[in-house]
Amino acid sequence: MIKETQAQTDTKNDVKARSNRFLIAGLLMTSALLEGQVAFACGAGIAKSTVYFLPDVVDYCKSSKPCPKFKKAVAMQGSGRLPGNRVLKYNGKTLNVGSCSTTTGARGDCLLPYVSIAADPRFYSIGDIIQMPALAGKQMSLPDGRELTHPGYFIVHDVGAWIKGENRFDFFTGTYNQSVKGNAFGQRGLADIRMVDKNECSPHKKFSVIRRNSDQWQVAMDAITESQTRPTHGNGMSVRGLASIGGSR
Amino acid sequence: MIRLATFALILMAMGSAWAGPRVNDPKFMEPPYWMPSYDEVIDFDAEQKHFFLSEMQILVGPSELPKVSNTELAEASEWAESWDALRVRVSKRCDDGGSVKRTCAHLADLRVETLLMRQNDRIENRIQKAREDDIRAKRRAARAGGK
Repeated sequence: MIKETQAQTDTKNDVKARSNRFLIAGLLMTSALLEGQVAFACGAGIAKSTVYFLPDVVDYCKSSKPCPKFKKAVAMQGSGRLPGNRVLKYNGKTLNVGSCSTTTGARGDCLLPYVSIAADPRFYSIGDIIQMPALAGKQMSLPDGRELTHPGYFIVHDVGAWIKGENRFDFFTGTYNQSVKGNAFGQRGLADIRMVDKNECSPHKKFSVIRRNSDQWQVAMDAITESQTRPTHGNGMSVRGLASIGGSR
Repeated sequence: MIRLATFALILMAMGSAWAGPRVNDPKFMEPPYWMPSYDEVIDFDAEQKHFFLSEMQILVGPSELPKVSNTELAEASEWAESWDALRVRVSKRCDDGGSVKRTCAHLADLRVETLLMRQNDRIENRIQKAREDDIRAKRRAARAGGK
């Protein structure tokens, strides 16, 4: 009788132990799945994005003379746009950017709103292209009032010491600051387009890299050039900057 | 006809052997970037170029990396084939690691430092660059003191 009770107790313990093991295994599997989902959403291949812009004196001051509000914006962003294709630097120097309608990047190219990005030079060469298929075909208004049909490609035109990591990018939005309504990548942009929050790991930020001088590079470059030169959407000033990339040999 | 085809094949094989280093090989388009590409070098402004070439000379000089004189380095920076050849030699040695690992890391960092001389000047970049410049200055001073 005692033996039977012992056997029953053992069986009960076995069942308990087994169910505990199942519970633990279940928890581990759930945890692994969750981790997998997190990795899918924010891992490699999903951009950690922020935006940067070029303050324009006409958006900040009553006259073309730099006012304190504009100077403050220049101190934050590093430079600001003045009339006559000049740029005021944070250190008080002015720079003539020639025919460029914005400002120049790390290799002297004219930066293109919604197309130029800053990336980490440890992982990218200037001129590499970042492809984000989810952005292709999206309509965006440029700061000068024209419309851009996004080609789904970005050019690494700029660098910054704060921009670190393979999936870390800073997106140039022309003279649009991050909170202005028209800024498609800004705080008020649509959820499937905006780039302002580096902690927002959305599927539209999924990207791949097209290396400068690789076979696909020219195809991507042609698509970018076309998006910039289309008659109704064109930004003729910027195409000069595009033409100078590649074919350097 | 067959003889002609064989001759053409031999010529192609010889051609590929003579073609020298090929930096358009995808391997050289991918990180780690031990040295800047020729495309990057020709985009350097005068200040960047002077800085990079002089610092590279200081770094490579006492190391086991391929030796190159000031003149050779300056000439290479003006001629794609020559720069590519140097880059291939250095990259192969750096990929092998070993005793040059530390020098190669500094060389890769020198490329980054040179590119950051024309960085976007938003405040976060300026603050971060000032921090990194400080660390590099200390490292250079330590290297100079160790000589």
